Amino acid sequence: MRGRSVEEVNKEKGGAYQEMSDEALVERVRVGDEGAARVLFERHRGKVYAMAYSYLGDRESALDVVQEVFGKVFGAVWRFRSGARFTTWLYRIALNCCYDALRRRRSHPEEPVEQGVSVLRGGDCEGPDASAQRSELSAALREAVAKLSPKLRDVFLLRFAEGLSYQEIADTLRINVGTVMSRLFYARQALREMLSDFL
Amino acid sequence: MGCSWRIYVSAYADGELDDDKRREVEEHLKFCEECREEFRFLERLKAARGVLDVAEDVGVEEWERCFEGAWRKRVGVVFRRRLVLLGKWFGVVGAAAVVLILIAFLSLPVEESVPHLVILDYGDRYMPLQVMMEGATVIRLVDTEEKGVEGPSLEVLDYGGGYTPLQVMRGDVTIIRLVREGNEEGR
Repeated sequence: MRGRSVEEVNKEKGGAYQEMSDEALVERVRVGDEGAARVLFERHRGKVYAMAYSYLGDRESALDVVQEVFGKVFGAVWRFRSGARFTTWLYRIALNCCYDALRRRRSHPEEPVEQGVSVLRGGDCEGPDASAQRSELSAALREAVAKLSPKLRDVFLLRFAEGLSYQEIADTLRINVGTVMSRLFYARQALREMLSDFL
Repeated sequence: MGCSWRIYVSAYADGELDDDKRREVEEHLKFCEECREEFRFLERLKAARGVLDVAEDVGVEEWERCFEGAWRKRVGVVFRRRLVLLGKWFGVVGAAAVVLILIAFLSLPVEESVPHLVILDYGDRYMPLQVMMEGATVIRLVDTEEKGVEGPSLEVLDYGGGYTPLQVMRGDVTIIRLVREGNEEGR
């Protein structure tokens, strides 16, 4: 099975994996199905990478976190409760891994510490002015999000960057929906003050 | 102090309100300039969402290495998990084996034990004539020279568990019969 791409796996399985839910794929991973694991990885690696990138600020660290997250997911599929939502479990693991990575950085000060939203898309197809404006907004937003308290930042990034619903955020962070709503509100209020020159 | 409806405006902009609350917010927005400005900011913020997108700069080979690394971790975890399960299985089986051995040992019939009896001094003229074991131990000391003299000096140190002396006679013959308690056949 080593080295097979998702396309090859799908050819063999007749594309069946692509039609399976995350939870069904997890069941397959439980019995050691590497093909199912690849599809799960393909589906969610981008989101996990974006989250890690937001917290850690560089691609190498973000890739390390992606590997760590999926290593934990594949190694602990037995702990995944059937009936639970896979993405909730995945994002919880991803958040924990991001904070672990940040803690490791603090204990190794020789590595550059850059918290918060990181190097963002520069707008490859835009003109120089638009690209510059975008980069300026990116930097300002990155700085502003980094200044949020961790509680506000987690909720804001899960909503803003990952697009999770209030209920999914509540499940991921184990808080109630009302708390999600109020934290999002306070996060946006704080950002509004900090980004008054940009937005 | 801002308008208290702003928190609902935030949820409204996210499309997270039920129908009733959504209609209420829409009505409120018609006459509250502060909340309208809040809503406009949220729309601008939403439009800026794209700037948080991470550049797709991870190559296929890097993703492949990433996946392989993650899968290898699983293999290691599975191996350790199986070792633990094997250890638990052996532990359970071992414990069960010990229990079975104990039960088997305890259910074995207890063999007749022989009482510990030490004769310190037969006397010069006495000799043990007979020692029997079968439910009872009998030691008969017979005077080899003359009948009617005093019996031998004989001391029973330990009858053994469950034995009682049944009879001690003196004369030309001394008989000590140790009978196992409850064993009528030895009488």
